[in-house]
Amino acid sequence: MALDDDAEIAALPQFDAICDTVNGETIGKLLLHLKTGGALGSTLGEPVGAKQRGVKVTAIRTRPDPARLSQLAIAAADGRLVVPVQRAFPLEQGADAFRLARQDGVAKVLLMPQLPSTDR
Amino acid sequence: MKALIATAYGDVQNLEFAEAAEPNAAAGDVKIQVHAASINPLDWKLLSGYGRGTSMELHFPAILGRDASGEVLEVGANVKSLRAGDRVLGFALGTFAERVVAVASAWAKVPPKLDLAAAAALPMVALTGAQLADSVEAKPGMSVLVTGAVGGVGRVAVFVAKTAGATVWAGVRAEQRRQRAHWVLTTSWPSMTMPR
Repeated sequence: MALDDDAEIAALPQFDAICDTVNGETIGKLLLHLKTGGALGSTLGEPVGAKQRGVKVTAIRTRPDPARLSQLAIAAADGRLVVPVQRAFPLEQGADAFRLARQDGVAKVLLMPQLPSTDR
Repeated sequence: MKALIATAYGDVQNLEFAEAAEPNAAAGDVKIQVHAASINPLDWKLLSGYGRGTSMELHFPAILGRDASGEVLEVGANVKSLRAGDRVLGFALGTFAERVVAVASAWAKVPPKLDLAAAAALPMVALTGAQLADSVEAKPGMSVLVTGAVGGVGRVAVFVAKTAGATVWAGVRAEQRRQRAHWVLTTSWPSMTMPR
């Protein structure tokens, strides 16, 4: 399906907040759709030009939080939160696992020490 | 014990499956038998040299891996929250190994209905996504756009922001749109780029 990206972005409303996990050119365009005084959270550092737009920017550095993790694990157990797994590899095939994991669009890749090694 | 050991900065050819020192649990620590650990973008970024000159500098030989699930083998003398045999998941360092040690506060119990492999996929993306949604103080009445909404972190951010009562707009790539037609909005953007 052919889409005009810029036209779609231009049609967006003004948001109160953006949670960004992609950064790059995309966030630069989306910043125009964040209200003045709005909030921008990012997992990839502070986007260029964000603060100049009068928005509150938070660059996330993940920290341990077992209580929160426990809540999220319960949501996953109940099926309310789904984090798909693409494939599990034995620990000794770590290089293969890394090659797969870093491909675009691949879900989580696991390393399992007790998984028997497989022929490639 | 065996571990996946990074021998130098570079690509995956610098990962070796080899013998590593057995980790020991101090008074506040918990040692687990790793059932599964998940690969996160940070792992290949660190291997490529992303953390050079920072607090994330690797000291070789280094064991990568930031999250894991497994069974508690032993707990330090001061640990009351967990005991041997508990199934746990957590956010730790050096998890691409047969066993790993981290402070007790790094670990949470795995709910009975969740298998350990599925649990291993969670810690890094779940905490990152939740803390991302928290950072914008998602609440009822707010409109929140989440980019990369089918990625692990994005999915969790969508879930947490929706649970907090916000109206969530899920941004995905063009080719992902058809599969996510039930979402409020999808839009198109280029692939995420990362150091490789």
